[in-house]
Amino acid sequence: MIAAKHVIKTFDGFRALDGLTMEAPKGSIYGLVGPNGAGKSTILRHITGVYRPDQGEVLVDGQEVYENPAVKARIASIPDELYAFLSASTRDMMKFYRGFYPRFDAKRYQALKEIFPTVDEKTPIRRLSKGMQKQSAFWLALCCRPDVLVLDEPVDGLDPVMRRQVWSLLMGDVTEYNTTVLVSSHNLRELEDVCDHVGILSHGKVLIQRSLSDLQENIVKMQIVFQERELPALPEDMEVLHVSQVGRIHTLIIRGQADEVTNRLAVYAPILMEALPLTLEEIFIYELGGEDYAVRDIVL
Amino acid sequence: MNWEGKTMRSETLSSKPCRVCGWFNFTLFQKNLTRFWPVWTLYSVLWFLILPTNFLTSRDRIIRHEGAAYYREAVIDLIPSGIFLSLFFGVLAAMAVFSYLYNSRAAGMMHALPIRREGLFLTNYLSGLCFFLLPIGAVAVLTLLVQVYIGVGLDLTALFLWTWCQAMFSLFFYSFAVFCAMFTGNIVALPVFYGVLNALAYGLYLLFSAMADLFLFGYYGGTIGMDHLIVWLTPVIRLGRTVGSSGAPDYRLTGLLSIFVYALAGVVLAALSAALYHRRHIETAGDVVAVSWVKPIFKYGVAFCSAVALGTFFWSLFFLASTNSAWPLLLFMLFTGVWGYFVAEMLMRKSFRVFRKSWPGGAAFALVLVLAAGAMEFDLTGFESRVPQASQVAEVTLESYSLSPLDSGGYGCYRLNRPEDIARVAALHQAVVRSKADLPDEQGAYASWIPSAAYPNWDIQISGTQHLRLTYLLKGGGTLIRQYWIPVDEDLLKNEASPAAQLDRLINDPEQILFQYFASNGCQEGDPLLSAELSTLDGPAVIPTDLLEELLDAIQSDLAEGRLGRHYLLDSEERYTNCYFNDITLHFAAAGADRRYDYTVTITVQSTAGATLKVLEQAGLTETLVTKGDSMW
Repeated sequence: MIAAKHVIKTFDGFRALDGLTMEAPKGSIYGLVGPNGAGKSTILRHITGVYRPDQGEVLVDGQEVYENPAVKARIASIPDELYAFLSASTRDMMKFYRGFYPRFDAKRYQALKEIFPTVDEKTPIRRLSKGMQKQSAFWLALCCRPDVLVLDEPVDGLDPVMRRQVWSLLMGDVTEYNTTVLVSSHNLRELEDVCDHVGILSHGKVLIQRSLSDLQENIVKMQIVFQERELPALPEDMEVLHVSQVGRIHTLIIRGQADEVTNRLAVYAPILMEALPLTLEEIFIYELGGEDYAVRDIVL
Repeated sequence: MNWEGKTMRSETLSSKPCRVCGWFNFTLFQKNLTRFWPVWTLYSVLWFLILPTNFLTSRDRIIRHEGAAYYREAVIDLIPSGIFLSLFFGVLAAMAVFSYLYNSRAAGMMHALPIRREGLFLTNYLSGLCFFLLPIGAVAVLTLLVQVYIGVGLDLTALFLWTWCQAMFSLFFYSFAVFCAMFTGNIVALPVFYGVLNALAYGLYLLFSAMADLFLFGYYGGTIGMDHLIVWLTPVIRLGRTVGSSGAPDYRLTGLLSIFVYALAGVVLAALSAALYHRRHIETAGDVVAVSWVKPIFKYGVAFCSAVALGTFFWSLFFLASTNSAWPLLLFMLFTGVWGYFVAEMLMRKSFRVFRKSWPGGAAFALVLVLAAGAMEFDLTGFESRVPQASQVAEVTLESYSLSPLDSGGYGCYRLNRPEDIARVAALHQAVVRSKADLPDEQGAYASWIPSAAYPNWDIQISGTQHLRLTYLLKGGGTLIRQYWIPVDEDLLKNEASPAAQLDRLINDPEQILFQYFASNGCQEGDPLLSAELSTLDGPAVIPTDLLEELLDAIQSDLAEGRLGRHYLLDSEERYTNCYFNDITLHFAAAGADRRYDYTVTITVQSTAGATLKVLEQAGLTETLVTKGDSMW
C-alpha cells in the first residue's frame, strides 16, 4: 500500500534520509520508531507529498504521491506541529477541507461531534489547548475518509481516556474500511498495543521492518543462573545483543527464536533458565545498540 | 479495498462533494478573499476616497463651473498615483496569499492538500490579483454612478483608461512581488527583497559609478551608456517619469507604452514565478533565500553593496578631506565588504557561527575586490589612458561650466566637428592624461583666494580647478566620455603645454565665442533684433533703436576679432579689470513658421571691445560703465 523505495533527502548537506526503503501493507497499522533525528518526520512528509525526494520514490498503491492530487486525496495526515488558519475554528477548517477532499464526510463530522465533546467547533483552533487541537485534528482527518492516515506523534497531548478513544476510532476504520495507518511515535508501549507492523529507523534508513509478532519472536531475553558465577563462553554464532549481571543472574538479549535459544543454552546445564518476550521498547533499545545508540551508564 | 466503490459511497455521504482538480481550487480562492480582506478593503477604501468621493464633494463646483471636462482632467491626473498604491499593495497582497510559504507548519499543511503545486500557485496568484481587480472594477462602477448622479455628462474614456492603467499597474507590481516571494522563505525578507529589486538596477548603477569614480581617473557616470536601460529596469522611476497627462487642452494620457511593457513583464514574471514555485523546496520555509542558486548571488551581492556603499560612506567620514588616495578607501571597502559577506552568511545559515565554514568565500571576495580595485587604479584595462585619435572622431563636445563671466557665452558647452578643432581637444585630453598625478580628484581641491590690491571690494582667485567633460562621438558609432577636474593657476595658464592653458585657448577661440553667444543660444541669421539694453548700477538703460543694427555689427565684429567674449578660468585681477559690471541684453525675435518666440542674448561688456564701446558712446552710455572690480556686485 505505502512504499518508499531508496529515498534520499538532503537538507543543506545533511542527509536526512539515506536510501530509506520501507513498505506498509494495506490495512495495517505501521509504527515508525527511531531515535531523534532518524528521519521519521521527513519520511512522513514525503509520504504526504509535501517533500520531493532527491532520489527514490514514494508510492501509494503503486502510484507516485508527489504532485499527484488523486493519490493525495486519499491521504489524510496529522503532523507533529499542527497548523490552522489564524482565527479559523474547527468548523471553518471543516469547510476548507471539504473543498479539497472529494470524500469528505459531513455526516461523520456531525457524528464525531459527540466523540470530541470538549472541542467547541466554533472556537478558533489556536485558542484551544494542545490536547483539544489534537482532537480537532483527528476529527477533521477522520472526516476526510482517508485510505491512508499518516500520524506524527498523534496522541501527544491527549489525556489517557481520549487516547483510548482515538485509537479505538482508528482501529475501527482499519477494520471497517481497511485504512492503512502509518504512525510515528516515541511512545513505544502504546505502539505495541496498536501496531501490527513496526519499522525501526536510524540515520535515515530503516534498520528493521517486520510485523510486531515476527519482531518479538526473533529476539529473546534469557535470564540464566549457572553453577559458576561467571558466564561461560557462548557459541560464536550466537548473536548476543546485550549482557548484564545482577548477583548470579545473567540477563542475555539474544537474536533468535526462544525455543532454539533455550535449547542451545541448555547444554551449559544452567541451574535456572527462563525465556522472556521483549517489549517493543526493549527491542528498540537493543537493536539500536548495534547502531551506536545504546543506553549508556553515565557517570557525572 | 475497492477504491472506486468507496469513492461513490462517500460522495453520497458528503453534503457538498468536490472533485479533485489539481489546477485550481475555488475553496482556497474564497478563503484567501475572506482571510485577507483587510488588504483589498484598504485598497478599495483609498480609491473610493480618491475618485467617487472626490467627485461627490466637488459636485457643486463641477455643476457650476467645470462641467464634464473636470472628470477627464481629474481622472487622468489621478492615474499616476496608482503606481505608488500598486507598489505598496502589490507586496502586501503577495505577502498575504503566499504567507504559508514562510511558515513550515503552514507550508506542510498546504502542500499535503490534494492539489498540484501549479494549482496552489494559480489559485493563490489569482486570488491576490483579485484583491486589485475587484476593487478597481467596483470603484470604476461607483465613479460612473456618481457621474450619472451629478448629471453634467460622462467621461467613459478617461474612466476606462483609469481602470485599464490601474489593472496593469497592479498586474505588474503584484506579479513582481510574487516573483520576489518565490526567492525567499522569510516573510520579513520579502518586502526587503521587493524594495531592493525594485531599485536594484539604479542602485547598482550608482554604486558602480561611485566605485569607478573613485578608482578610475576620468570616469564619468554616463560612460557605460546604460541610463535608458537602467531607468527601464527601475519601474517606479520609468512609470513615474512617463505616465501622466499631456496637459491642456488635449489632456491625453502619456506613458502608454511603458504601462503596456510593464504589464507584459508582469505576465512574464508570473510565469517565471509559477516555474520557480514548481521547483521550490518546501523545507526552505523560514530561510532568507529559498532558491539554492540565488544564495551565492545574494551573499556576494550583499558583500559588494556593503563594500561600495558603506565603504565609501566611512571613507568619506574619515578621509575625504585629507587625501585623494584610493587605497584607504579600499581598506574601508574590504572591511565593510567582508562584514557584509558574513552578515549575509549569518542570515542564510540562521546562525552567528559562520566564520569557520565560510571564511574561504570571504577571503575570495576580499581578493577579488583588491584585484578589481588594483586593476582600476593601475589602469590595467587602459581605460584611463585611452584618448581617441582625431581621425576616429566625428564630433566632440567639450563642457566646462565654471567660466567667468556668466553671460550667454559662459555656459561652456562647445560642440566641435572640424578636424583641427577635434585635434586640439584630443591634444588637450592627452595633456590631461599625461598629467594625471598632478590633477585633483575633486572640485575646489586647489582653490585659493587672496585680497585684491587693486580692488578692495574683492578677493581674487590665484588658483582653482576647472571642470572638463569631453564627449567624443566616434565615427564607428560609439561614444566615449571622460570627466576631469584640472588645476588652474597663473603659472599653468602661462605654460602653453599645460591642460589649463590649452583649455583657455580652446574656449577663447573667437569662432567658438561667436558660436557660443549666438548659434548655441538658438540664434539664426536673419532673426530681427527687437531691442537692446545695457544694465547699469541704476537699472537697465535702453539703447536707441536707430543704433541697434550698428550695435549688433559692432558686437559681432568684436567677438570675431577676439576683443569681446573673453572668458576666464579664474576670477583673476585681469577678469575684474577687463570685464565690466554692465551687460548688454539683445532681444531677438525668432524668424520662421516654426520659431514663433522671442529670445535674448546677454553679453558682458569688456574693456577691449572697441567697436561696441564706440556704439555705447554714441548712445551716451559710457558714463554708466563700471568695471567688475570697481563695482560692489
